[in-house]
Parts: sequence; structure tokens; C-alpha cells
Amino acid sequence: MTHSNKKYSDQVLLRRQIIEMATHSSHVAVSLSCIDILAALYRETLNLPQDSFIFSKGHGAMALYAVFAEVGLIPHSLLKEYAKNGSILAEHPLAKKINCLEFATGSLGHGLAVAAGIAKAKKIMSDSSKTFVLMGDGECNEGSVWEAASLAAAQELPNLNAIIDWNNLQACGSWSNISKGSDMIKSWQAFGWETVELSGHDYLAMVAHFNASNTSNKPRVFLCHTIKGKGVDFMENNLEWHYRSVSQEDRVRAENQLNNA
Amino acid sequence: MRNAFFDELTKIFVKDEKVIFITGDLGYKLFDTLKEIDAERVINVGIREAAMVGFAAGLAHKGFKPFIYSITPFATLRCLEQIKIDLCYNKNKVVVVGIGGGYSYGPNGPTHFGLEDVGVLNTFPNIHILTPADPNEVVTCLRKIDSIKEPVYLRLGRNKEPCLYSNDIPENISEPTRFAEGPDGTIICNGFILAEVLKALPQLEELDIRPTVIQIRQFKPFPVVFLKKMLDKSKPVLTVEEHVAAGGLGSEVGKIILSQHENRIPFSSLTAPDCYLEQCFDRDEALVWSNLDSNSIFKKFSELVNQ
Repeated sequence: MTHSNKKYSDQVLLRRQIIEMATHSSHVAVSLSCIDILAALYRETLNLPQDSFIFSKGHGAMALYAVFAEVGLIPHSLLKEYAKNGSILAEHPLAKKINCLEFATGSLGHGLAVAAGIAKAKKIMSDSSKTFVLMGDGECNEGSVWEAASLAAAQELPNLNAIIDWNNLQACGSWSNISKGSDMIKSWQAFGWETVELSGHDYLAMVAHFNASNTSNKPRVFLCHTIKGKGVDFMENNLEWHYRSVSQEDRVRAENQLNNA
Repeated sequence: MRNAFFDELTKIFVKDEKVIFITGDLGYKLFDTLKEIDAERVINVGIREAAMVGFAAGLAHKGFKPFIYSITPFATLRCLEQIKIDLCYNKNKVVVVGIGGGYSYGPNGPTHFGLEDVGVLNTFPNIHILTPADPNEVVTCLRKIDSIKEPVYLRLGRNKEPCLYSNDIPENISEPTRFAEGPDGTIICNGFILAEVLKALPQLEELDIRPTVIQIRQFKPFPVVFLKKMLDKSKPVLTVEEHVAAGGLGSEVGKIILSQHENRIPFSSLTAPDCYLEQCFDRDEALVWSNLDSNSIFKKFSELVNQ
């Protein structure tokens, strides 16, 4: 077992919690795709409440909630209330309900501009705390992402860090097919960003890169290659699991796999 | 109204270091004075209205007080979901300034008109909508804005609106102002169309019709209690707005009148028509075409009184 694989196995519990929550909602594969990124960020990079994090791909909320419970931002018992009537844990994060959840999201393409504004505020105030924003590759279809990307470059915000959960699968097809002709990495470079390409499941590599200081005067984007549904073979790279909720039978199969990982 | 806005904003900008002026690449030379005072707090984000709203939300989230500025349709409809989610839902106090409401940009055509802004924004919880009528009211609104804790939409005209107040302006902008007191019903308007309403008064007086004239400076929250109290009489009411009917002044006043079960008041509203203007007109001609000019207001109100 390599070192990074060992770290991966530490995330089995987080994945099990996502599977359990997903008996009430869609987006299980979305959450399994970005859980390692969130674990690296919240365990090893973000210093709360000073640092800012905008979870722009709000539909991966189960992953965020699982990590929030692990780091103590919400009680573990709350996860059982996910997506139930009266709960504060909706399928997309609600506004002003959870401490340290700075911004409610769900409609794609909003987070980058907001994070750029936060980074600009910190620049004006000479505040050295960090600002991160997580987006999906499908989210990068949104024109507002590119308005914000070029604005952030023009404002010279090296304190702004974007992360792309690049699993190449969006709701109804592959990113590379739907955005045929686009080059994700060159696009960000052309918009004036520093790019770092890495695996979004290689925990140690992410920690090292997320914590490395940005010596350029450009904002920085981490293009994290991920697998949608990562960790559960019948969900991996399978479009169906963008939407399908987890049945009792699916859950047993998925948990057996995770336990034996 | 534009000059009044920039003059007063400059005063606020000097006094309050948290104020940031953000433009969507409009207002050539108008914000130069602000730049001379503190260039870091003046940002031209470019023609990126969606990013402008989100960016301002991020600044507001960290304690700044951003004013974002563009021509009305671009400051509102172009980035509507950003206003809804980044400002209203996430409760970030940003002041959205729409220059050129209604037909102010006349010959520029329908792409530049602001005829739906108030109605559409009226559907969002948490936003305050301010509709000043003249340069002095712009100043009054700006002086009150810091005390509002929620996002604000400030609807301005362009730059030729006359000063309409002869006395001091009452400071409480949540309460409408009275421009004339008369026994023969009420004309209610919101914004700089007030000048047309006031022009209609001498014509009405010739027919011995003397209405009360009400100007609504704060459209949202709507002054329901104030209007209920004053409309509780069986006198005709006419609303006049440089805006389409849906979601605007007439629909709000109509709801109040419908809720009054006894003494149903004769009521009518003048609004922009439900179609796009097909010729090039300046604002004055666009008002005539829309039946919103002083003559149309005179005719409509005299008909209503004689019903």
C-alpha cells in the first residue's frame, strides 16, 4: 500500500457517510468525486475561521457535510437528518445555517466571482489568510466562470485559489464531448491563471500543492483529475449515479467494497 | 440625477473608507474624482455584470460597502440571478445603482430601457428598492442607504431631471412624500415620472380637479400601511409609472385597493405598454407613445374623476 493509498483508506468513513446520506438524494457520485479534495482542504490547509472557502459546486453537499462532521463544524448526529423535512442540511447548502459555511450555493457559476471579491477584500486589508473555491468541470460551461476568471486575473489576486473537480462527467454526458474543442488547462492559462495539474485523489500531493505558496502575481487553479463515483466500482464513471439515489441493496454492496478497500 | 449621485457618493466615499465604487465599464470621467481620492477603492471590472455582482458580494462579505454601477438593464436583468443568490439570498449588502431607468436612454432603444427592473427585483426577498424622483431625493436616499442592512437597488434617471422640491425633503424615505394636497382623489407615482405628473396639475386645475400627489421613494418594502390609511376614502386613484404593469406600482396599489372591501375606489394605472417600441424616440416622445406624458396623465385622471 502506497502512502497516498493509505491516506485514501482513511477516507473510507467519509465515503460510507456519503453512501448513507445518498439514500435520500441524488449526487452520490458527485460527492465521492470531490471528497478527497475537501478532506485535504479542511484537515490540512484551511485555518478557520480566517481562511475562506466557497463550495461553488453546491450539489456535492454530502461530501461537504461529511467533512464538516469530521472536523467538528457540525455534530455527526446531524448527518442522519440530511435531506429530511425540517433539517438544516439540504441537498444544496442553505444560507446562514452552518457556522463557517460562508456562502450558499447550488446554482453553478456563482462561487468564483464571490471568492475573487473575498480575495480582493483581503488584498486591500493586507490580510494574508487564504481563499479557496471548489468548482466542477461541468460548472466551467458557465460564462460567469470566465467573467470571474478574467476579472480575478486583472485584479492580480495571487491569494485566490480555485480547484476544479475534473472528473470529465457532467449531468448528461462527458465534459470533453460537451465542450469539444476546449482545452481546460490552456483556457485557464489563457485567462491569466497559474495552473497546477494533479490527481484529486492523491491526498498527500494535494496537501503539498494546496499549502505551497503562490509566488506569482496570478490567481492559481488546481486542476484535479478525479473519478466520478470514486471508491465504489459500480458507481465509478457511470452517469447514472449523478442522479440515482442509493437503495438498501446498493448500500450494502457499496459498503462491502469500501470495507475491503 | 447622475451628477447628484456622484456628488453625494464622493462625500460618502471620503468619509467612509469601506465604501467601494465598482463600475461595469460605464460612467466615463464621472468617477475620476473618486479615483483621485483613493484609486484602490474604485474598480472598473469591465463589461462583466455577473462577475461584478458576485465580486461585490465577496467584498461585502468581508465588510466592505460596494456600490455597483451600470445602465439599468445591465445592472439588473443581465445579472439577475447573481442579485438573487449572491446578494438577496446570501444577504450581502451591496448597492446596485441603475442609471437610466425607464425611457431615459430614449434614442438608444429598447435594449437600453429600464422598464422591468423594479417589477422583477420586487419578486426577491430582502432587497430594498429606492425610486427617487429628482436630484435632491437621490441625495436623501444616499444619506439613508448606510442605515439599510440589506441589498439595495437605487433606480436613477439620467441627467436632465428637474429639481421638484421647493421645501426640505422629509428624511424618512420609507414614507412617501406629498407634492400636492387636494380633495379630488390621488395620483401616485414612483420616481422621476413625477415631473410629468406635476406638469398635469395646472391642466387638471382648469377643470377644477385638485388631486393629492404622492411620490413613493422606497418602493420595497412597499408603504402599505401609509397607503391603506390614506386611500381609505371613496376617491379615485391613478398610479403612474415609467415601467411595465407587471410587478410595478399599479399592481401594488391595486392589491391594497382590492383588500378594501367597503367603498371600492375607482382605480386606474398608467404604465409602459406590453410591447417593444418600434421606432427611435427620445424620452419625451417615448412617454407620449406610452401615454405617460403629462397630457395623457391629465386625460386619464379627468376621465377617472368623471366616471
